[in-house]
Amino acid sequence: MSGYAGQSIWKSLGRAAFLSVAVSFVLFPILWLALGSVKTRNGALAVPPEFIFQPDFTAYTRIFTQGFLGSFQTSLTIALTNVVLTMVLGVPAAYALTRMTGKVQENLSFWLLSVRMAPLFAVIIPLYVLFRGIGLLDTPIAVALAHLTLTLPMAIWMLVTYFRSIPIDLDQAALLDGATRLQVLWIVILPIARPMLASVGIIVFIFSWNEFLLAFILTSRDAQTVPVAVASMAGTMSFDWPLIAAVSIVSMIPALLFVGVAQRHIVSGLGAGAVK
Amino acid sequence: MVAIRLQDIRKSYGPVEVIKGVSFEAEQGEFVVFVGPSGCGKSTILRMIAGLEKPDSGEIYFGDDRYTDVPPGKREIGMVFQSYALYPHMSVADNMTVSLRLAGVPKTDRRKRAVEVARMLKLDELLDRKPAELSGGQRQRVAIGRAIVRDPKAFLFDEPLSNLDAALRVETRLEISRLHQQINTTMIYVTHDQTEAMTMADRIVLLDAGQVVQQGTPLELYRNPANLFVATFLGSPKMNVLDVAAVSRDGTTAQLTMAGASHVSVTLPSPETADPKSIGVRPEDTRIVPEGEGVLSGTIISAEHLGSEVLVHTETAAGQIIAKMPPDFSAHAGDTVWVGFNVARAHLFDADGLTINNHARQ
Ligand SMILES: Nc1ncnc2c1ncn2[C@@H]1O[C@H](COP(=O)(O)OP(=O)(O)OP(=O)(O)O)[C@@H](O)[C@H]1O
Ligand SMILES: [Mg+2]
Repeated sequence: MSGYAGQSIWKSLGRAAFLSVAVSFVLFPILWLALGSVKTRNGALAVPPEFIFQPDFTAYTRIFTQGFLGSFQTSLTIALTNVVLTMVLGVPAAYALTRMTGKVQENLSFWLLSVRMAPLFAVIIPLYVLFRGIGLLDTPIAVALAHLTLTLPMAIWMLVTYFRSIPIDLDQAALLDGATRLQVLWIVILPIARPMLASVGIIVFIFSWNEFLLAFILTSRDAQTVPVAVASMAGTMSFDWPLIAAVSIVSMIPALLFVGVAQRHIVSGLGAGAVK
Repeated sequence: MVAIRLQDIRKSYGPVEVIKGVSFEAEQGEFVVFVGPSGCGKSTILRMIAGLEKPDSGEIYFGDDRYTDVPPGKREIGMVFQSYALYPHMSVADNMTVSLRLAGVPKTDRRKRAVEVARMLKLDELLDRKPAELSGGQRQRVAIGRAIVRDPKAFLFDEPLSNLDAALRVETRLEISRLHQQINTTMIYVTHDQTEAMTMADRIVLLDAGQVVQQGTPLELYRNPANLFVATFLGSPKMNVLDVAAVSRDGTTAQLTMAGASHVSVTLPSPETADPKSIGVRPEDTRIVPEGEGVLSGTIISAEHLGSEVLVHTETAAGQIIAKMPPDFSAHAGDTVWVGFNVARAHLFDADGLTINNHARQ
């Protein structure tokens, strides 16, 4: 065997080992959750952990019987509302920021991002007072709007970077072809920016889906999201670990589905061939 | 009939005025070439005609109608960008027919028109490809096709050939000229390449630093450049320009001298004309001559054999001089030679670089 081939075996072994460590590090908590969700209450907390046991799926049926369906619905409503609002507001804003010039634009993009520099609590209290004032506390829309204050600047920031990379000649060609600004955005810019739109959508959805603090403070009973519902369970006298684990596992499904669909739009090379 | 008229157009970016009062008219069906060095404002003027940029002052007319404030989409202009600016996610056919789609033309009619135009530009086979799957020359033709499809009032070209290789450039140049004859629409073509300007233009508008320096037919500008800038900008290789001083003057006849040379006798248009400060002679009016017959002696630096002619570069006391010689002329670097001028075709310039003498049309 040549030295070269030997070296490549060690190389691929090393790579496999490295990847296994990385993957198990990432997946271990999920595996732990999955195992925990099919144990009994006492079995789940046994020390040392049991690896051989009779799987018990009752925790999953209890998701339905103990009223978690409502939380899933709320979480989904909030996440999707937030994705839609972020896109509808963020895309035109980012487009305007990249295509219109002047001092205002420069400063505006800085101030937009500065929202993210403030500690979250600086945002929560005014939001709480505001939503209480207009009677939106404990509604999905309140949580979605609160999330929007954080995801919108981030989305604009990401989109601005991407829109800047699209040659302005394309806009002008479309304007000469008789397009209005909105048509330029719709016909030319958005199709080219599809991968970035999908990425932004994924990040915003996952953020909203998992966000805890804002959802916890702005809701009490009717609009509890999944993370809040799970957390509130942990505080009650009977610590129902299998149910918590089952809810957590199931809560991954919508996010996985959303990412799976959105990810298909993340393809490279959409902008190739435009210029030169 | 006047197709496009600019009236004292001015434009500044911040504190810098880049277009300093440009006026100009293009006749219906005329092929006008804007030429000038990089950064002189050619693209800016073109973009103002297209409506992509607003002039600070001045007016733009299409025919008799004031178009200064009309948005670009309403100007019915076909523009070919230097970068092509094709829509990367659309097929060739869709790229060419976006304007029709926006105008509400039904799909089958759009396809028909795309096929028509594609045939004209030899793109028939490529209608369903994406721009990324095309060569530079093909992309260029798609960009032209997109401009043609809507039957525009005028075409604007912004250095459309600058991304092509030399052979393709010559070919496309001919194609654009042919296209112009075929559809006979007003075309305004921007380039910094004097060869393109000389070969394609009905009329050249020569710009420098945001101002029109001179306009006219290619031959007018070549034969009677208004000043040193025009004289040296047009023509390849460049006109030889030498500093001179008048040693004696007798009415319209002046004896000029230059570094390292015997006297040259030139004729001025009138006794009142200022003394020439420099003399310009084109390479084709410059000769390598037997000793004693020339004006200057020099050393050959290099000889470029182009097949149809030889360009002889010499170093003289008055500066570098290029002479265009017949193809069988034998020259070797380092040879000492004599340079002679056809003085009757010389251009004379005053201290400000303005042309003193005129040459009748031949
Ligand atoms: N958007 C802009 N902002 C500021 N300055 C600009 C802008 N566009 C052009 N300029 C300036 O205006 C001048 C003219 O530019 P323009 O693009 O018209 O030149 P050009 O003649 O087309 O040159 P080239 O042959 O290099 O394309 C240049 O000095 C350029 O720097
Ligand atoms: Mg230019």
